[in-house]
Amino acid sequence: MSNEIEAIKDPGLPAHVHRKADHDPVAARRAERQVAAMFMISALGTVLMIASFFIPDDVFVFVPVMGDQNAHQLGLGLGMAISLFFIGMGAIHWAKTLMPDQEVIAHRHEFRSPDSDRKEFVDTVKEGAAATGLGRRSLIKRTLGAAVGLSAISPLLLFRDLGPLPGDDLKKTSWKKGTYLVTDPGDRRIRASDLEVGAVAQVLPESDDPEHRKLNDIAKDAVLLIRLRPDEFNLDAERLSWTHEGIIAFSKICSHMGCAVALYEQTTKHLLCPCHQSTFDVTRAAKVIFGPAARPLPQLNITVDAEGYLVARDPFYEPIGPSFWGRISS
Amino acid sequence: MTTEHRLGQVANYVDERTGAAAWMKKNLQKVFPDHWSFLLGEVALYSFIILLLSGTYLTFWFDPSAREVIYEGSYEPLEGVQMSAAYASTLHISFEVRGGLLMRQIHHWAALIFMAAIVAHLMRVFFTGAFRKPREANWIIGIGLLTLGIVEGFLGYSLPDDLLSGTGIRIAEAIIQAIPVVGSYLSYFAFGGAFPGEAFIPRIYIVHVLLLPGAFLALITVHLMMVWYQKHTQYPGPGRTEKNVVGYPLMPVYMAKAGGFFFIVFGVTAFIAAVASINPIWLYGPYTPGQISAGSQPDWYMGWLDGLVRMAPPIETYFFGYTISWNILIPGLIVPGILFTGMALYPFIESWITGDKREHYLLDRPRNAPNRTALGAM
Repeated sequence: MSNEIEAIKDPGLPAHVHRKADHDPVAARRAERQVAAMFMISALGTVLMIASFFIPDDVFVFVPVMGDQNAHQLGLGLGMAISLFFIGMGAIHWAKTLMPDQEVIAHRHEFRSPDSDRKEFVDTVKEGAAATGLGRRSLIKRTLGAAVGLSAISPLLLFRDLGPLPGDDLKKTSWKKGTYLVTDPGDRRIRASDLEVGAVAQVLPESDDPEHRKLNDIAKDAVLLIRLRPDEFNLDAERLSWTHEGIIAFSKICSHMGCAVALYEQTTKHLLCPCHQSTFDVTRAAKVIFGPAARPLPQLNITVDAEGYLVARDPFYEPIGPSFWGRISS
Repeated sequence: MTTEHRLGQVANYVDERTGAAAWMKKNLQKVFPDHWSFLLGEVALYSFIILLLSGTYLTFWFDPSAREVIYEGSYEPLEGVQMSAAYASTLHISFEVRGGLLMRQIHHWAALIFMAAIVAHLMRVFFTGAFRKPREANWIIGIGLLTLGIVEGFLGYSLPDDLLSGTGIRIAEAIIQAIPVVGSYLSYFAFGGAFPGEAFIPRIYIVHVLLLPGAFLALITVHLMMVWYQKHTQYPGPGRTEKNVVGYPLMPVYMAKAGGFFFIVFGVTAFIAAVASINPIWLYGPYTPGQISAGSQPDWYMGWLDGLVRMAPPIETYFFGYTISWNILIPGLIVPGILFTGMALYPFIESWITGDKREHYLLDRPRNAPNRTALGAM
């Protein structure tokens, strides 16, 4: 007995099975009517869409599961969907039931060119290259290379005025010694007594023109005030002196990627950034206790003036927001 | 004069000037194999056409400007609020332009379907080995289209300048800023100064509506011409060999099926847009850097990047007083770079490992290529 297994021969395409509509005129008629019906449904969809266009914006219809729906919007969308969908369904049903469904075989040709063509091609290229003399005339080759290389610089130069150089702009905010903290919104100065223990407030530096604050300034100046009981802090003496009667101030701009760190969990005293879940412990000067942030939120040194309004005692001691190459270099 | 005679005259006119008849005769009989998985790429193509149509519609009203305006439209909760012209015009499209909200939702849903179809199509091509010789170049173009799609989608949903999209831009800015040495310079060039500035929206607008769609059109054209020229792959089966193509001719069956399928994709997209709200920017409010909405999440195709960033260890290193933010560079640039380069080079890597330099026109069933399937599933 031989162990050799004979290769299975390709049986070729299976025999074609005719559809009912191919030989039964009644079935063919039915298929034709079905296709026509779908095209008619499409036309009705267009009518629905046109009608819906004129429904006033304040009419609502109740749709099970979805609840009250704006009739204008729903009718427009459904009308459009029906009109397009059934053109497609009709065309495909037509193709599947009435157009020929006999599979045909086409042959592939080899992509590789005949050897004679390849040789001729190589010869042409060689001849052409030799005619330029680039191989022999190295002076031309080198100067051409230098000229083309240099010409690539000019487009780069043209883009120079896309923006100014950063300079130390990223390291500065509007907070200065003696800047009043004001509410956002409202632009009112704040007394310590305005904040209950456990409260959070967003504040901005007082501005001469509070009506027209620039987003660029808010992007750097936004600060969160949080009031705890003073004994809840776990800070060194210096940082404790930056607080006032349990009120501590941090930059609201995440030290990770610059989102607004807006979620404060009152019981755990954690600040959470909703973008990437970096979590900062307020009692320990916004130390990172979870997530991808590498640095605490910068703390703003605050105190009160003679009238009891909160002011900054100093600017931020380090750049706020996400890191960059020259962040801590002078 | 009969219709046939008249058509004959038109055909004669064109053919005497172009000689198109010979080419057309051959290509109208072109054979395409049939399989449901070959429709995935078609869905991507049709979604792209829907995006072009609906996107052009939106440009008639959208004002790509960061200019501050006071809202006076019909959406009462935001009346009198200061916002950018971009956000205000998006509200206008949503509330005052009849059909505007529908077209906005069609545009956004079509973008999500476009990306989903590209990813599904990519998986089909990967798991069946359709990227093998002679189709490596077309695979690379496909990876290019996927990459462009991610960028284009991100720029698109950044345009309305709402609280969610502005937060996304802020994160993109932080990634640019984290690039060693030149990061803060690149960021200032891109934004025309400090974040957010006023230059960014008009800039990403022209990239979103002109530059990238142009690149898409060029790449898709080459992608399809290569499929046409190299002929479609087919699944193995009786009568199907490496030397033939078994299927239906373009005229009339494929024309009817593919043309019909475009309308079905458009119809389904319109249906989803009619019943399912997407990106309700009026609920988010205009962008301001000091605020944020809870649970800020990007569109689904950015989810893997967002997840990478969240998982990154909180590491920053300092050397000679300079900062390197590994917590941003690794998930934001290095891992995606390795991933996409690896995907683009995969046909060559596989051919190098298996030593298989033959041409392939019959597709693999995934179960017959276990190593590749395991890698892909990973």
